[in-house]
Amino acid sequence: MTKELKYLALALGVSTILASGSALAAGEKIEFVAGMVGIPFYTTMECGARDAAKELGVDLNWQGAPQWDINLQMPILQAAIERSPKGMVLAPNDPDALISIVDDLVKNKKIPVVTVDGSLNKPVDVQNMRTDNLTAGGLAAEAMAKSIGGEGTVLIVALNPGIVANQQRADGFLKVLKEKYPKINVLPIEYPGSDQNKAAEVVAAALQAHPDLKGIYTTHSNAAVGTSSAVIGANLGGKVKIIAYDADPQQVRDLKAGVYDGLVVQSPYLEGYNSVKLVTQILRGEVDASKLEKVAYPPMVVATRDNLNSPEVKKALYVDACPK
Amino acid sequence: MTDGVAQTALARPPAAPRRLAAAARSTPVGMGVIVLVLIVIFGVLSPNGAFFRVSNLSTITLNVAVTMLLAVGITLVLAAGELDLSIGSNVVLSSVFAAKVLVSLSGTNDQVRAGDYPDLALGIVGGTIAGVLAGTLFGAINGLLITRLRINSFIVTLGTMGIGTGLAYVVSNGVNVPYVPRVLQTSFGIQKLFGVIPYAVIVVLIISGALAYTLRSTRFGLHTLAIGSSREAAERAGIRWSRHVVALFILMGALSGVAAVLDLTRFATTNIGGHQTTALAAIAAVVIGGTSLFGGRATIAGSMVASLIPVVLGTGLVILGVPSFYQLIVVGAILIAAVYVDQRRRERLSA
Repeated sequence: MTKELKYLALALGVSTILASGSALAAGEKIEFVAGMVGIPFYTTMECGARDAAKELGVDLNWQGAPQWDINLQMPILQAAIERSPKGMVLAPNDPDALISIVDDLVKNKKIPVVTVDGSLNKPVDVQNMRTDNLTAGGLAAEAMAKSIGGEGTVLIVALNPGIVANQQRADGFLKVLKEKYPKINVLPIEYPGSDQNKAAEVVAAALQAHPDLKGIYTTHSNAAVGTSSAVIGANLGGKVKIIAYDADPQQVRDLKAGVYDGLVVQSPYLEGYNSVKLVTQILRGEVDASKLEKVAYPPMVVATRDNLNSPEVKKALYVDACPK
Repeated sequence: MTDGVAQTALARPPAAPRRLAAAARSTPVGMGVIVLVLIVIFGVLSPNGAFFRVSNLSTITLNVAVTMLLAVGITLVLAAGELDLSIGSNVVLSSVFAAKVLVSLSGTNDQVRAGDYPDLALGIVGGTIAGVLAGTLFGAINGLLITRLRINSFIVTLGTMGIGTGLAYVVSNGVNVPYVPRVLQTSFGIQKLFGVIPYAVIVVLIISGALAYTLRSTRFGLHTLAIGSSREAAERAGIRWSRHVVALFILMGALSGVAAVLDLTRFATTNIGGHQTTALAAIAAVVIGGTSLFGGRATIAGSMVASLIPVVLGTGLVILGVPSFYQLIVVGAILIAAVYVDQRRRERLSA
């Protein structure tokens, strides 16, 4: 290390101590860099983050690009860093591209970074909060078993092979059915990609081939749209039960109308709320960042017509705008 | 509907027996036979003859409707020796405009959010017009870029494909337009006349019939094929190339707009993540159906029949329970085989 660098490091260290000293006062600046904005999932996360900020009295700045694109997220992240926050929550758009930036923030700049939704391939953040897709798939299986009465044939409509998060949604579903519901027969998984028309095509064919088909589990919204179109088109609406993933306002409406029988609700609200709370607690010295679990999975629910109005489920559903 | 070959179209109609012989040699007939053979094979192999069920066959036609409509349009574009790669993104963009207008005209924000559509009729009319208009405009821009800037249509539409998708994301904010009324789907999109023929298919058949007539029996069709055969010769004969090409792309755009509206009614939502391979599927159907990629030879009947092949295969393989990884392999292999068989058959017949 050269002399200049030593001074620089010393200066940085001093300023960090000063910074953390001032952080003891309320109103810590926390930057929240969302994965994208404009979709109900992230709006809901924003509501959770803002609620936590209000309760804890921190100064939260929420930013995100209109699309899931690392090239759009990078400048937003850089700008967030320029505002020299005390802490940060980040929903990384790419598992690799942001590792060195987050590492620098946590190690050198002493800014605790919690990642949500997406994750980094190297755990340089203080904690990652995300959906446990395997468990979510299992919840979907339980909901399916319940709505078809524990026996019959079911179909899984997934995305494309090789997409880990999506495959886990299917695998978790299969695992629970295999272990707990031997009377349920699962057809080979269909992979229509993100094409609604293709999803409708494979589901229409499956309905023809298997008159005993009682339920369909869709792992993403385009599959759900194609599936519901095919099921209603075959006059089987309500008879063939559809368990879908996510709970956008429109999907919730369709659940009420009987198009779907269950929605696996991820927990964007809790991801937003818990992440801001955790960063604040670290800044205030209430939590030791080095002793945290590297990954946390906020609890999820399956929304059905029966439990839709329970406070627990209501809070988890995705929204277009935060309730006032 | 037989091949609208430029040379024969220019000549007087052939005598009846010759016409019959020509029909037997034509690709539409060959592909029709192949589709029938596939249907019979799947019908026999499927459990309880599930594939033969009327409901199955009618759902297949519904599943193919949008691709078929686009294939019919592309037939005319290819007939003139041009290409349009942007149709999928046009469908997406037009459906976003249609949905936005439809939802905003149907009621106030709070009303539609609650699932209440007091001005639904107005919304549907406005949305339909907006969708078709957006598609037409998209097509017109394609046509003007090709003719005014004298850039190859392959490049122009490759460019507008990206622009269209990007615009659709911008307008929709990267999210499918919410609160499209589901009644579109339940009372039109998946409804069938007499419980057999989907309304969407009727729309496609009427438009296709009109365009087949246009290609075969009108001056517009004749000029299209003439331009595709030889642009220079056509221009020397007094056909205005640029005006004609713009007209063709406007037509293709309008058809994409119609496809967008059909898509919207089918799924009761926009499909901003979809239609990435739609252009390829439509162009493939057209070429497999017997239209030349290089212009001058085109058959709308062939395009319609050939567009059935992937959907018949997709449905049949699922009914037979072929795992989805193998489906891709089988579909690819059968497509190549079908074209080979048809080619050999025509060679033998004309020998």
